[in-house]
Amino acid sequence: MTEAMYYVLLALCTPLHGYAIMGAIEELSRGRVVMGPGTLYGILSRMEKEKMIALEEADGRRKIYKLTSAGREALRQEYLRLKAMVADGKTLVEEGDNG
Amino acid sequence: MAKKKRRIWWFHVDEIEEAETWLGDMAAKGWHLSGSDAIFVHFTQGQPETVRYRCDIFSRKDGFEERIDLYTQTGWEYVASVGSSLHIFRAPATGAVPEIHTDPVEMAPTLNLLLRPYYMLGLSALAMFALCLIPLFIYGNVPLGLLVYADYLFILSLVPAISLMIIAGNGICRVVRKRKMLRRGSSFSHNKPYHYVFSRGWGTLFVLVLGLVLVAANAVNVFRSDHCSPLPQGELPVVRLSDIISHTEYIIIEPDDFELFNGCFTSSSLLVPWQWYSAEFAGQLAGGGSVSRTSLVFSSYRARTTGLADILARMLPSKFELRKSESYPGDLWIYQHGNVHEFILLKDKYVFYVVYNGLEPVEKLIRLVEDKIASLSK
Repeated sequence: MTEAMYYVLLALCTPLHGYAIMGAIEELSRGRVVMGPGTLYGILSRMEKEKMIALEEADGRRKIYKLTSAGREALRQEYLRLKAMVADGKTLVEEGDNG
Repeated sequence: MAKKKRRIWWFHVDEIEEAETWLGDMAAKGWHLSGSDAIFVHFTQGQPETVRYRCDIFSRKDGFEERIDLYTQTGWEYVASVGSSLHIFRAPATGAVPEIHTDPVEMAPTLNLLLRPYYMLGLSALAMFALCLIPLFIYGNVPLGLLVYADYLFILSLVPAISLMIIAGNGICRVVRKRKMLRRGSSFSHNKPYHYVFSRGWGTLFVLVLGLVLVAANAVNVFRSDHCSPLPQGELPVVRLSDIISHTEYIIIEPDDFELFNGCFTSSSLLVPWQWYSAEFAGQLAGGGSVSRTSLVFSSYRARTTGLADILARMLPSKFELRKSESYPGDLWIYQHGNVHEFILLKDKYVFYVVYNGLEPVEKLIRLVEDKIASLSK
């Protein structure tokens, strides 16, 4: 899973439409991750095909996306993987910094 | 009213960075992209501005409106599309508007759409190439066709097909290379020299037009080479029916009645530059003989080298039915059935292919051919 995919899944913990997802990603990454509309649209259509996200009721003509259970599970797995990676690096990297 | 102008879109579908740079430079000179059609992009004059142009690749079928809507909300104005999958957007050069693609790895698969036009181009070029080869099949097989038919005009008529194949092959390689670059995490530069694109464009157009003219000329040539002119009265590099039989014995059928038979034509190729075909037809023996149709079909070839003449003699279509003569002290292949005699005689650079239907002994004809070779070799 790429960083971009991870953040899209993270943002969709609350159902949102496309443009709102971009804002949510910027906010929850505290401005570190800025996603372009091309990248976002590509990820959304792929994840929709892979059934990780689904359409909720359309808000006017804008589609609102939400996580499916498969998407939520994929996000959880990725979160655990990243957490394990951080933990694995913690001792060596932080000790390295101190010493 | 604002001035307008149009320019040919010379960029290949994958030359995205070059096209973006060009559109940016045009805007800096005050020419802003305003639309497109099948061949041209249109510009409208305005204030010179520094503008970011981006070309994005996506299919029109797949949520086009929704995607444009998303881009517009982000600050990207949709300007025009070139073809079905290249769409052009613009945004101010500075400010908060993020790039359309912020993740090159995610962008890489979008380039797959660019392969399709190159595959189509490659296939059409192959079909064009195959069409150009059709005249070669008239001679039974392609190697023989190349030997006997392929002249300068024919070789040049292959130019458009070959150049399109090169364009398609190059395009596929470039798309694959760019896709690999994106997958490795490097982004497009959005600032690439593009001036060569225009001279290349005009050059390609020139080659294509020239090639198509040659294809047409080649087609006319095929048509014309089938046309037989009447046999001239003067000296020919072939043996005539009148050399073997006496006019008084036979009724010679007038050309008007059997134009296809009583005629001749010359032809030429790069490898066999000298080719002469003649066909003559005589009718019944005066007083009612048994041979109703005496005919002599005579093809003479002079190849560039003795080696090529040798290959030609061995490739001629009926060759497999002919048997090498044991008694003849040279290269002679013979076939005989009833009154039909067929033979191929090879001597140095000359090949003679003769089909004779008549009562005279074939040895007489062979001697005449030998005399002819001797006179030609002088």
